Amino acid sequence: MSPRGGSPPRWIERLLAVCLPRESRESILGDLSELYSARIQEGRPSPVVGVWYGWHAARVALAYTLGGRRRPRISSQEKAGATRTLGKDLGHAAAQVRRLIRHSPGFTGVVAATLAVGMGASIAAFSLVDAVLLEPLPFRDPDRLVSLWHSAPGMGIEDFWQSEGSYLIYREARTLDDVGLYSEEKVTLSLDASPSRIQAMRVTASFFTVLGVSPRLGRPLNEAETAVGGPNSVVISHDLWSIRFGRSTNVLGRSLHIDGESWTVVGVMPRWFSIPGMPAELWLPYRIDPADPQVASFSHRAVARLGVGYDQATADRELDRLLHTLPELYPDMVSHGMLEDAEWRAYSRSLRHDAVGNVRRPLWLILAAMTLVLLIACGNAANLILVRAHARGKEMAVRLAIGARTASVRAIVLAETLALAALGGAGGLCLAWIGMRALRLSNPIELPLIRNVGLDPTVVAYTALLVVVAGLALGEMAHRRHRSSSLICSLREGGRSGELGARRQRLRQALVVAQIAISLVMLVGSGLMYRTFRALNGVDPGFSREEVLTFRLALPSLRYPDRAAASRYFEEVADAIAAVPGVVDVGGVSTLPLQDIPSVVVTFVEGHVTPADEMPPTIRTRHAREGFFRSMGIPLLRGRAFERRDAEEWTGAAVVSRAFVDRYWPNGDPIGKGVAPYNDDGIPGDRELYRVVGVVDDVRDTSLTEEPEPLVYYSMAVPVSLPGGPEPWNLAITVRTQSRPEALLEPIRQAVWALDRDIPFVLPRTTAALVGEAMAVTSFVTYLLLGGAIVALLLGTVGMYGVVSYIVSHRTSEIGVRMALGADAGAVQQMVVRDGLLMGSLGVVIGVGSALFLTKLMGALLFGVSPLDGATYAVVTTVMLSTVALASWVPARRASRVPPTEALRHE
Amino acid sequence: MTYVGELEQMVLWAVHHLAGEGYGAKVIAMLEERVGRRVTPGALFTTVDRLEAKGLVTSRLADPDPVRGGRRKRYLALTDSGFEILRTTRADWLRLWEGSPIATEGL
Repeated sequence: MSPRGGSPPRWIERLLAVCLPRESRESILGDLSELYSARIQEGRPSPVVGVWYGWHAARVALAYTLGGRRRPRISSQEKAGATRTLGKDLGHAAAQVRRLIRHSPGFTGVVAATLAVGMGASIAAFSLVDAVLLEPLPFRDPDRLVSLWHSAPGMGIEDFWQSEGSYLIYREARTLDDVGLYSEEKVTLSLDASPSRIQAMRVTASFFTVLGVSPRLGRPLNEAETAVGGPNSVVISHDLWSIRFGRSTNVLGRSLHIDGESWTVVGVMPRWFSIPGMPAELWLPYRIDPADPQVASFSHRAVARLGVGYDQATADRELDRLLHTLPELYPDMVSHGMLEDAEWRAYSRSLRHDAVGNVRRPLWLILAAMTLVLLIACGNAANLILVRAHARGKEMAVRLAIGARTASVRAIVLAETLALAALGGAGGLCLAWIGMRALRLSNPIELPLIRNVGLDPTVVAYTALLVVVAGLALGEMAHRRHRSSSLICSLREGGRSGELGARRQRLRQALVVAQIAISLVMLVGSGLMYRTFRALNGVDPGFSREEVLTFRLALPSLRYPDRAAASRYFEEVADAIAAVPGVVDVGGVSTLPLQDIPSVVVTFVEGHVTPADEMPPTIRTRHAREGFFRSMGIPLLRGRAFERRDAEEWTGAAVVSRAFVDRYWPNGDPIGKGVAPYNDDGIPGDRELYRVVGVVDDVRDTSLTEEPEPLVYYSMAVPVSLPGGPEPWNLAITVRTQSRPEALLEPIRQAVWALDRDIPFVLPRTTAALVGEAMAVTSFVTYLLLGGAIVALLLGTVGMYGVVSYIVSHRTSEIGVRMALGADAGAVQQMVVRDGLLMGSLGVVIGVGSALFLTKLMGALLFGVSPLDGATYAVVTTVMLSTVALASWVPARRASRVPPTEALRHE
Repeated sequence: MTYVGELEQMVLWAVHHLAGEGYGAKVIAMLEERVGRRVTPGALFTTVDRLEAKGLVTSRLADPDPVRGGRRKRYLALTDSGFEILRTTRADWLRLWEGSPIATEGL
């Protein structure tokens, strides 16, 4: 769990602030926060103090919202309230719960269960939002942590990272305390005999000081270790320490073999430590030569701490100013004109936004949807309570008649509904806990920070808030019912129940209309997500989704010291895999579409004229081996694909994508044209120029929704050692199989290991799984919304059915008269269903109106469907009206079957 | 003459006792410490508002306080009529008890 300072849950403060008048807002929040910290300092457990805070915040909010009108008066109630303590309130509520369960177990059970379903959904969604979006990041003073970014709209690049050069200049910023540079990297760790490929991170020493985190054991990396030629020291993760070292304190000073070199462990980080969304097992020193930094490769991330008293806007201005010193410091690499043309800017973003930016909207959407489910559940509970209030009308009228004050009747009603809400809240917490466990274990979309999801004080306080709000709202409604039905009226009505008070019916009908409207909004929302899901499913990723297995092989560079050795190994392994029965084709590639981010490289394109002072095109780049296109099912449009000799020796073969041709060589034959990555000396010479030998179709590269970008595939062999050239030691292997690729996984692994037992076999996936992962967020939201919508529809139907039955049962005698006078059963049924449909239509109209407005907020999540999609609205409206008709028809049929004699006797 | 209730009297006393340095959280702590009375924050805030509406106390916002998350305190002080009420109620009580030796005996 993250360390939380002595400040109360921020979201309760925000809610409370809304309820308070402006002039007292600050002082009241301050006082409450002071009382909160005082309690924490007394050593009370923070969950208890959290609940205490939520409780009192709710009471203060109520005093200022409900009590506003009667403030100058001194009421005895307030004086009583002043001395009553939380303990007494709880005791009172417990007694009420016991009484309720004893006297009307069925009613209590149904209302509590209904509320529990609604609250459970809302609590679980809130706990997600809280853990991922609200809870402060577990670093010191997390609000001051920012990540540093560049954007260059003039080059068509929206966000990119830092280079060593930009890191060095931004470290000078006075508005920043310090900047830490980090970069993800996969390394091979050899412990015992078995090598494994694990996630590591290269970091500067400042990385740890910026985040303000101390290791659990030992020390962080220091400046000496991150200097060029420094000692090989490494900090390891808590997981690695637990699993590989059994949490032994002797781990410090042990040496690890990483990528064939020996490294000494100097520290162990705490369990929770990682940059959100970027877990790592090892932190290795990032070594920069200040005299000769890389300037033009913006492939590292930077985290910075804002200086005290500076805000992001001030820091951004200084970063921008420092950016423009880059051309002065490194005139060979960057020119002023280039900065201008690219509209190059530097800016900072909060670290949290970085981690959770893309799940922010889905999570809020889910919370909103689940809150709608809760509203519908409350509607049902309200209906049940109204029915009971009607039944108890006489009791209350008698109480009032013999002198009870309105206030004490109100207290009875409130205590009852609060008790019901509390039961519902308890049930909801249980349901939510189950849901959260399931979510945390499956974590379908790899949410960052999901470890924090759980029943922490904030979630308990949220539950308490729901209970108080639901209990008070339901109680207030029931109380009004008693008050509005005047004494005589109640007694008379109680005496003869043939007719229903028109107003009472209207309130109940209004509740149903609201439920229908809300269910409709839910159905439209989930319908749109479902259409998105279908549309994404229909996207052709450009490669085959069936019968392709991919995995990664990483060669230890010590055993395979040069390109030739590595290349030979891959040839042998390809032959070995091809020999496995059921394998059709084998290929290799540096990065896989939809799984890895492709390298984006500044590229020379023959015939493409770059105006002076402008950056040449940056193009997505992969390196591929023989068989890659065939095995992935990427159609070859012209020319030839790679052959074995392209990897063995320098043939200069390149294959470009259709989008590449469309953008750069729309006219004429692309075959034979030159293309090459720029190297440090500028334009590549003839001997380094690749020649296009083929054109392939586009693939969806980074997401299913983006339009294909130009892509160039180079052959594996290189003319000279080029920087940014292919890393032959780490390749993804693609295997096309005759039938189910999963079944071949084991034979293929055996074949790989028969050649060399020490090579880690990593990330086996089918291409179907790659596509599935690319759709994970959409699937996640779709499933949750669909689930919510189904629950909403069920609850809404039950509510509708209950109300219509109730109204019909009170019209039994009227129906009897009609039938005695000659109306037939069909006409009676029609009448009731027509009344139901009238209510339903009103609900549908309101629902459609709200949905038209609310679904606009979903815009960014939708794909291939408009928020105003007519088909979705039509289907949902039909479903809703049929449900309404069905819910009315069942009680109508029952009523019309009662013999008139009995109906007339019905009282 | 304005009527003041029991809690209001206590708050007036605390404000007087704290001599211009009193504010919500401190008044609550003071009352608990002195008479063991746990005043809920909600009750205290409304009471203070009421006393201000009656013209018995005044308040001023202080400078931001980093300890409270940068929020300003609302310092309370008695007005003349607040002080007058406090004085007369005290005198009333003292007179009642002093003039009643029998009632005092069992206490």
